[in-house]
Amino acid sequence: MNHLERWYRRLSLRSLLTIVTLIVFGSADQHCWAQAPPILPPVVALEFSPSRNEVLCCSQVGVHIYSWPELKLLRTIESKFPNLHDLQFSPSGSQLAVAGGAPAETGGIELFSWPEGHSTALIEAHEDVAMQLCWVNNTSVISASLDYGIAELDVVSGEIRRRLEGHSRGVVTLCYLPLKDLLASSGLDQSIRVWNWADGKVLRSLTNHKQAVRKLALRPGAAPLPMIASASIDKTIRLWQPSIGRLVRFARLPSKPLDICWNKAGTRIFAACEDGVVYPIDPDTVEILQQESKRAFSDWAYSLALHPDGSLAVGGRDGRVVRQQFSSQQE
Amino acid sequence: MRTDLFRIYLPHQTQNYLMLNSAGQPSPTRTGANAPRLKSATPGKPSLLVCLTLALLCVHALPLSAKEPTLVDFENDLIPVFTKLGCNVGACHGAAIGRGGFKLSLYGGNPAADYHAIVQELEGRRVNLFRPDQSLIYLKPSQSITHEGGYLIEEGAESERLLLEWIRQGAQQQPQRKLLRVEVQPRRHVFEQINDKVQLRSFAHYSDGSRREVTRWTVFTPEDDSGIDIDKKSNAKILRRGRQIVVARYLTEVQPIELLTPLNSSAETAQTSSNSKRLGFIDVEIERSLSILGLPKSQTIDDNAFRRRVSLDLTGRLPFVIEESLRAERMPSSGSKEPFDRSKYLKRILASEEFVQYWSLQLAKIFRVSPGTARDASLGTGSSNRYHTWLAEQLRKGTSYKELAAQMVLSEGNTREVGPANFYRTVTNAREQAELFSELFMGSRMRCANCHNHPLDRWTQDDYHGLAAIFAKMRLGDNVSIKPDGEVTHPRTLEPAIPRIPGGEFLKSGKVDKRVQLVDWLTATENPYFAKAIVNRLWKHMMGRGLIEPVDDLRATNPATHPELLDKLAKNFVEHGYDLRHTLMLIASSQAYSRSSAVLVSNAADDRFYSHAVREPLGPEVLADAISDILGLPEKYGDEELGTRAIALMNPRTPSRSLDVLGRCDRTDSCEGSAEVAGGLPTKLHMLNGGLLNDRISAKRGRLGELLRQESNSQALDIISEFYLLALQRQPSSAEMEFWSAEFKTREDLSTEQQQTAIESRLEDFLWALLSSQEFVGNP
Repeated sequence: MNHLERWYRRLSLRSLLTIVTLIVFGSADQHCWAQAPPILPPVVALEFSPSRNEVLCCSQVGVHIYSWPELKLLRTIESKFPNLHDLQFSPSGSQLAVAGGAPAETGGIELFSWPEGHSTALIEAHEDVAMQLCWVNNTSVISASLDYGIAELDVVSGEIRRRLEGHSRGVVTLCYLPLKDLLASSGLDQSIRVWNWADGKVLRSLTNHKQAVRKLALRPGAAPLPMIASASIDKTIRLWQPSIGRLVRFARLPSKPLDICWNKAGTRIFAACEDGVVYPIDPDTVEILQQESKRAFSDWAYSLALHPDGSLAVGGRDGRVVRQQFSSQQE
Repeated sequence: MRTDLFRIYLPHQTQNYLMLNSAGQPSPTRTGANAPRLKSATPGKPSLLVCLTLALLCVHALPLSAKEPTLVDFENDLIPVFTKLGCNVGACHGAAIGRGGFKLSLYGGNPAADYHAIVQELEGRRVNLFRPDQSLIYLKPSQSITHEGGYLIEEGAESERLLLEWIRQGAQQQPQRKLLRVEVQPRRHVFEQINDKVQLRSFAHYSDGSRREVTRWTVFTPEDDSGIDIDKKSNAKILRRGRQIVVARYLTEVQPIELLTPLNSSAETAQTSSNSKRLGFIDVEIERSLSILGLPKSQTIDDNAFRRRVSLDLTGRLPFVIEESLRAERMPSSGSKEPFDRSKYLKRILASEEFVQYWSLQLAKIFRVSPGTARDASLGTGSSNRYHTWLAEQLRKGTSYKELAAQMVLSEGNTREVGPANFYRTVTNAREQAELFSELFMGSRMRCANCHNHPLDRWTQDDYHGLAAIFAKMRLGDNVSIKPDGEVTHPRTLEPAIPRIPGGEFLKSGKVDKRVQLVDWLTATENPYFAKAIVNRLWKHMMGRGLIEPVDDLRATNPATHPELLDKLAKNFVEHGYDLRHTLMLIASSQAYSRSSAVLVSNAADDRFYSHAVREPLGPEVLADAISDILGLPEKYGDEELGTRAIALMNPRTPSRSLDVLGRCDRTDSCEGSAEVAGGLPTKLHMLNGGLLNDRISAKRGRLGELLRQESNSQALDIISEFYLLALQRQPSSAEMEFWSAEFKTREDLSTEQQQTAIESRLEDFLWALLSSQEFVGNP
């Protein structure tokens, strides 16, 4: 046996042992890893199905649908868009809208029937990809695009109802405030614009962020002054009362946030960050609850979704999704 | 028409995915290599059969994987492609704010940031891992969609293959090896004649010991497009004689290539070289260059010209002024046989108080000693005067330049009492202090690295902000003190910058004054900047041109005209205790220093190889003093006492019309790149028509009036000779004397009084002409 053969044999034995060890002991890990070959795109948006027993993962591949909490891959829905960035169910739960497009060419939303997963409409409304969408009601969707514009789309007729222009750079996030009929939007120009949804006019511009804003999220509840949280590359989460234009307070994170969500009671904000950690934040004290923070991945944690049972789905690169349980969520 | 496809994954099947169309029929699309390969997600213990299958796969896969192509390395393979294509240059995405919303680091200086921008930013918009050929990073440069930068990646080109392969492999960031250095060939090449070619090549050396040719991904940029042409295959064709520099760039490494073409035939060179006597290292290096370039040397100046040159260079005074002061014998008459000892003369000058006074001014200019602009005038003047006085004290004591620098950097206290503390009063914030430090003591411009890694030098943003972080711990201004909580924000990380020695390691946090480590590094014998920066400045002052120009821009891509000479001068400076006088003496004693500025036909084109002296205009203060000395009329400067010399003024804003006209530097910024010369157009106009000379020449109490009173019966030509001697350190030549004799012939029909008036008028004209002449206003 020559040297090379001996080397291969040793390596093979080691590989076998490693694989066996990983399979046997890896399955006992509390993180239920979705199957993920190494070259899959990142999961950039997550959404739970209306029945809450499936989680939908949005990436360039399409929409993977996993069982929850087992995280077994059930099926995949493909989109016509090469890039997907967001997905949301209609208020009735019968339609799934996916935002995306072809970078620097076109953008909009694609609608799918649920639970069938059949594509029912494709509305191209932008000259660049749509980064986020937001349902106003069962017939109306708002999309935010890197073409600097915001569009209101009629999902029945497939027409563009109107466009809101005003941002000086790409718009990447939206938040509709139904109780005040306001829309908050933000993105690469660092400003948060508050629009009067009825007439489409800008009420005010909130400009405290020093870097691009990646996500806006509305605090649950029916407080007289609704509150939104904004997550920015400047590593801050800022809390606003957009109806009166007030910056309430802000928290500074140890890493740049990619996605945020509130818990059901509005007593916690969860921020998925570039360091792969999900940080819980107390919105009243803006304290980062470091002890409760949990690492989801070794690198970027791209997306978050909150399940009614209090657990979180966290999306990462390589198509990975993990389930995390935070004690403070169990209400 | 859409085709309603969706994919159903079937775990535990051999083929674990199946494409169905809306009718439920299997679809032939998206199978095979392009489809994602998913493995079982079912948790639980696998069967023994699965383990054995996997093991078998391992055994069989290993030999196969050895044959697979290696991974495309983002940092070492792909970034050079972007640089070669021009994607990351300043005019494109390498601009400080990027282009079209896409920003790359300048010339790929920050691979991590580039990876972030390409792969991660905006949820991975620019790279499509599922459909690589739909990636924006590919579609744009291949102009599949509109791209302002044009068509950069041709179909089938290696750049296309590399880019798509990298995406197919998962767009990984992890570098497989680290680039250690780049070697270019040739480093230096001598062409025989115009239109000759040489192949430029470059090789990358990596941390794993490997070396590979990277010529095709190296950008070769000539400093002067009209002097050299480089084709697509990296062949350099010489278009003009002389010295041409080509900068080779591969990743962050930049290397200069020196291409020389003789200006004259070698026969003439051989003749000049054979005349050389025993030479010091300065002349050996200078003559080596002259020999390669075929440049003959101009004549050596005589002792009188040497006296004028050296007294102006070292004391800022004309020889008769300094010699009167030194009580040295005045220049020998033309018939004198007494030998003149240049070495002895130099030593006396270097030991004089006049040297201290003049070089205090020179150092004050280098260190930008100024009362400041927006400060209380009296407070600022008090501080800057203390700074100037302290510099003079150090020169008088013979303090080494190393000690001088250390005292400045480590100083603190009230700037009106502690002279060197004014180093921290020159600028207003830590970043500017870092720039000042690097330009003064390292001869290096780091300010580019504020916004991005320096494109032509080794400095990174970490270096710049790390150095600024050291100075952030200082409270700048009139009372310099330690500021423990001082910090600067790193613009890339938005975190406080970590103190760092330029080009070195980050300094550990703690209460230790980081300036001590900085000074230790700066003044270490092996420091590659400190000694070179100052000897290059001394060389420029004496020789009219720095070995590196500009003198505060030492970098690999701005090579010295004589690199070995600069190295030896710096080494010699260190070996002799960082003694400024020693290096000045060394330079002044060289043959190159004693060369005439009169050019030969065959060396007239030389502006940097010292085949002849560079004719330098006198500095504003020196010229103002020289005019006053010749006219015998001191000028009043502000509130200073009458008779105060311009070079003795500590405040660069002391009111003086003459100095303003002559173009003095107010030292609010570097004086080294300014037009601080007496040869500019405004200066010339004032010399010709303004009051600078005209108002003072005819003054009766001046030297001319005195001579006329003393020698009213003597010939005007004697007065002319006297002025020649004082101003130019020589007697008029016979041609000049003949000219002036003709000019001073008076009409015989005039009365004696009329004749005297005419002579006086012509003498005034003569004096005006003398003081306006190139020979007087320069140091030839």
